[in-house]
Amino acid sequence: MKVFGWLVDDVSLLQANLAFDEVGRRYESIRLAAKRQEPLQVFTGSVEQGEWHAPGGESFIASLLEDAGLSYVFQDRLGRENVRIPLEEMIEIGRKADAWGLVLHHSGSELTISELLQKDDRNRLVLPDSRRVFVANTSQCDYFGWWVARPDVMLENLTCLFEGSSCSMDMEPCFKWLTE
Amino acid sequence: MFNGYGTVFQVANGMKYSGIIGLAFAAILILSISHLLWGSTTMDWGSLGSWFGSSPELAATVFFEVRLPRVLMAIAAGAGLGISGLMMQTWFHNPLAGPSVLGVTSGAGMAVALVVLTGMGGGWLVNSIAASVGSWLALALVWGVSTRFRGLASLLIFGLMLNYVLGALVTVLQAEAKENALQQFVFWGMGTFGQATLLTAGVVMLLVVIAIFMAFSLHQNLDKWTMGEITARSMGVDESRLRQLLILLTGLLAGSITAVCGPVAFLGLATPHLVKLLTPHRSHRRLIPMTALIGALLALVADWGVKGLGVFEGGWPLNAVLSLLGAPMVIWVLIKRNFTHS
Repeated sequence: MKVFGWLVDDVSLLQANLAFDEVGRRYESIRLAAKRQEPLQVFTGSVEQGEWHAPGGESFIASLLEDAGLSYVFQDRLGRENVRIPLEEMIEIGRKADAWGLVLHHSGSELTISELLQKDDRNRLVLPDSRRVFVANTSQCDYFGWWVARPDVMLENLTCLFEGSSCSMDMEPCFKWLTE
Repeated sequence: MFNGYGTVFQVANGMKYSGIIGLAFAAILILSISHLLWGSTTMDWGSLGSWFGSSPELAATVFFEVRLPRVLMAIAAGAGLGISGLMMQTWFHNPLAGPSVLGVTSGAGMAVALVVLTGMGGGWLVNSIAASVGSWLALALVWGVSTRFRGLASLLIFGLMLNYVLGALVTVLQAEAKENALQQFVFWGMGTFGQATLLTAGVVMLLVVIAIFMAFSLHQNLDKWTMGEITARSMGVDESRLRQLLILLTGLLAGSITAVCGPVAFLGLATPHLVKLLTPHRSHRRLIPMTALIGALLALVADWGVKGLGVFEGGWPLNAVLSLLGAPMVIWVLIKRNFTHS
């Protein structure tokens, strides 16, 4: 954001700095409000060829989940890049976790849990007992564009998602719970 | 430099056929048990029976959904691809022939690329169905062509050209694909035994057993075929029938295994070479059972590499491990043959 402002002119740089600082302030206020006594256990990722692939403990999504007052189960697997986890270990993790989050591309109608299970037979092995799955469907929201540039809105989306019906957003959320 | 390895093979050559078969069988048993026992989950073996109840315990789920299907799939794929490679090498009189030479694996790859890279599907089930359909279409094409071409070299070249054409089409699809679809296709291309379920591993195992019996029933004709086409014909071998049976057998094996595991490298090519290094027997009555066993053994050994040898986390992709195992093996065979000839 700042680099693009700098490339244009001084006025744009000033505007970019203001916008950046506003995003930072807003993010911090949502983060402080989101702290929970007993954070819910959340995992991310998907199965590829019999192995689980998920963002590491220092990734953007890991920080976002922690800041939303949740506990990311791969927090201790350091690194920004994806980590690979044996499927049998994931079955154990899935049974203990409260929710599963993933970013995917699904065009057409709204994805359901039964459709997610049909996509890969192994998904049913890691599905949490609570059957709570939230997704960011990149065919419905510009996840890797606008949303990543607005981490404050993304954090608000996640905290709202776990707070339930008492919370609402001014815009269409990117992360949504899957229905059965 | 090679004396140590040479001694191993000399000892193996000196052993009775039944001794090598027994050793291979014992090694498969030990490796299978080690795969079933070892894993990242601490197992409560007493709870395995809960699998048959309504809410299986963790150990039962891990054992019946992950470890057992993976071991069965490795055995089936190793045996199946080994037999498939042996059949192709015998038929083409060419030590570089393998199950992929007829374009069956490429057919499966093209079909999976079509559904994954164009966003038509991409789930495991869709990929498996696409791979099966693709391999059977390629097989039908090769079958049709084989009735037109008389010479072995022509069919071999046709298979290679089919591989090139399908490979080019896959590259075009890759160039146009979205990032996540491309990632999924790359993962599929790495191959794995870990995607099998009890049902798919069981079905492939059944097909492999049927194919081994089919191959065994052809052993006399295959022995005659190794003496040369003209000699084989003069000894009453029905060339057309033998060719069709071998194409069917190879397609059945390579197609079903690729559908579940993705393209699996080198097992089909390397296994027959290793078998011929271990035993002086050249009769297919002996070669077929030994190839099935050694293929299964190689697959189980490779799967330890995929699991990180139990030492480091993550492990390597199956095709990387198989290529690292298989390529030196084939080079070793070439070196040994050159020493023998000189």
